[in-house]
Amino acid sequence: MKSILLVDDEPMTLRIMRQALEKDGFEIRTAFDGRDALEKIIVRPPDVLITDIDMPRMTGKELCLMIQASMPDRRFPIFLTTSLTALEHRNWSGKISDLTFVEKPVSLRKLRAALLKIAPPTDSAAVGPSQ
Amino acid sequence: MIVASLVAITLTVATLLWHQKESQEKQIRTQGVSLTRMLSGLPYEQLVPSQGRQDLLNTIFQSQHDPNFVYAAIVDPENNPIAVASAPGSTVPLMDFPDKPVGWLSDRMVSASNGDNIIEFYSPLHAGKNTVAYLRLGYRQPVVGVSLEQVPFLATLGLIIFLLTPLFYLLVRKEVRPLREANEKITTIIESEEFQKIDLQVPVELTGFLDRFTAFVDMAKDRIDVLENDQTKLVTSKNLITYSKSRIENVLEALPESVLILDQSGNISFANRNLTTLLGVSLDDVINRNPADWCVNQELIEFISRYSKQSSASRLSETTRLNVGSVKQKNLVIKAYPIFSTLDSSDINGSLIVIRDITKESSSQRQQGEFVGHVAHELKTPLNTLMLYTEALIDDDEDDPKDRIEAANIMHDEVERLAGLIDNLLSITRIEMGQISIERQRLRLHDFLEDAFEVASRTELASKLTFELDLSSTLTSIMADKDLLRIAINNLLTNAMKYSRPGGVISLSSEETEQSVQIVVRDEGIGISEEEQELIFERFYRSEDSEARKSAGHGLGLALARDIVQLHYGTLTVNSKPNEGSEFVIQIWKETGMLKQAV
Repeated sequence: MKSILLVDDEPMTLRIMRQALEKDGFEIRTAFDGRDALEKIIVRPPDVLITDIDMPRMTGKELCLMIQASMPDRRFPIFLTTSLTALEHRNWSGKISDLTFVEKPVSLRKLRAALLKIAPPTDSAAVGPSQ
Repeated sequence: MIVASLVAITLTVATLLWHQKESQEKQIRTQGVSLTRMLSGLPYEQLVPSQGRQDLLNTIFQSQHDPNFVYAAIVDPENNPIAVASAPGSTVPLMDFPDKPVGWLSDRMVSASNGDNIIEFYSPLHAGKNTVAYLRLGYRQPVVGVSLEQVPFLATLGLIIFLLTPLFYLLVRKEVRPLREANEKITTIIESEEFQKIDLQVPVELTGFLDRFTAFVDMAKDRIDVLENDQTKLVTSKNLITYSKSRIENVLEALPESVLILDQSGNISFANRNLTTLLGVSLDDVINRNPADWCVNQELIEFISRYSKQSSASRLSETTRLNVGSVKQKNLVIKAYPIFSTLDSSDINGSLIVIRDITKESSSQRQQGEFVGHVAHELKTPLNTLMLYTEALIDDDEDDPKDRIEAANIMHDEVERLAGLIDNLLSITRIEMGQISIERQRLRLHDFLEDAFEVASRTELASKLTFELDLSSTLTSIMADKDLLRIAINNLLTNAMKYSRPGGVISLSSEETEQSVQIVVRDEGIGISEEEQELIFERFYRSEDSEARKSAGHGLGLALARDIVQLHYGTLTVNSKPNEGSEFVIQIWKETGMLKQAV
């Protein structure tokens, strides 16, 4: 079963995303800010990281830069949800591989479609719904 | 005049006597030469006395009747007298002849035994071809002196001169009087130091001279008038130029921009005081110096230097933007303009450099841009939640009523949050635009502050903080808009909590004087640097401090709080030290105090 780490300071966002993605067969872990997420990644890296950008203590941007610096051979893709659409707010991300910006408000349908494409939860789970 | 007369008489007499002596001497010489020539021509035998012959020499001597003829003598070559005829008392002086007399007739000066000067004429006497003797004729040399016969003539002459001298003096005096008067007048004019016409009655001979002299003076006077007039014009013109210059300089001083004027050589000929403040240099260091001598910013030096070296034909105004200062950066807009000559518009006299500090403007623009971004973010956050839940509801196949109700509630809360945010944004904008009117009512300040404090201390932010309330139970009531004042107090308390560190103390206290009430919100948080204390009340300003940046905010809380306090004719001030904490003080005038303030 593929695991997803959801990072957001809005509990309601975490809750609805967890519900939706668990139904798709993912193992969901959550963190409420960047620092919390980093601790959880160090313990066990997820298969996908979905994080908000504007959070207290450690922002999504800082989290990405920390991961890039401390885990050069990272394999998992990162989805970054943001409302800051201007290009200047994304300049920093040039050197970070496998990073996708997801514009707020986030469409669960589109996110789930993208996730299923790049990281099917498990073979069985992927087949599961059709059974 | 008597002395002059006597001198004239003396000179005249002396001249006459001298002339008389000269003519006498001339007569003696004529007489002596002719007599010597005559006698030396006679045979020697006739001249020397012998028996039976008259003494010719004596006879001739006696016949002369000349008082100056003192002797006649014949002497042998050894100078022994052979025949002598002389005036009574006179002797023939002993005097050798030269060995070889140069001629047959000559004269010489000899001294008589009584001291008289004698003019002696002598000549050799011959018998055959031999010189046998010498003839010597002595005449007394005439002296200057007055003889008795001359006294009446000389006295008459002296009298005439004596009488004529005053007459001559008076005549001369009469003739020079106009000149003397003219002299006196000119002296008076010189002493009075102002030009006047010289008006004189003069003899005909002097009229022409005086006319020309007066014309000359008139010409000089005209020339002086012209010069004085020119000088007055020059002084007036100089005053005007000075006045214009100082007026222009005053205008340049009053400009909000920094102004530099460079001459053709690129040196500063004027700089206003704003420049010294902006670049931190003193005027003395700048004037008459090249920017390279005092300016520390290389880019600024290069811009000014390049511009002032451009040829006049291609010179247009130029603009550049620079960031200067290492610690506190300033954004500057620098504009350079050519200064054309007033005489020839193709000729350039120098350059005008205008420097505008746009740090605040660009900071404000940047903050406004950030604010818009932040507002978008704040709006998108509830929208995001709404989007997630609506999609979940639509896609939910299992149709769990519990989940549906929860989703609907969340969506309801988010819509309320969105509406509240929009309301706040609108009210802030209205206050900023001056479109809000305050509704004053009597407010029991003690209860009001206690409620606000209670609400704040129960929020999520309040965890891990200690709260202290220190309000006087007798705190007065004030007239205020309750809703607006609550926003202000709430913003200050929220800030105090946001920028506190865990374990910090938040306190709300009050102080009351006869005229005013002070409400003090204090924290022990990260504090605010002195530079930022000026800026935090500006709309959209968000601290540059990284620790402060970690707390969410839209840079409006303090601006709004100050706006609200000012609507109540109060003041909001801050005292803070980095890492020690901040203290925000609202001072609101009581009605009595407000009246006094108004008076």
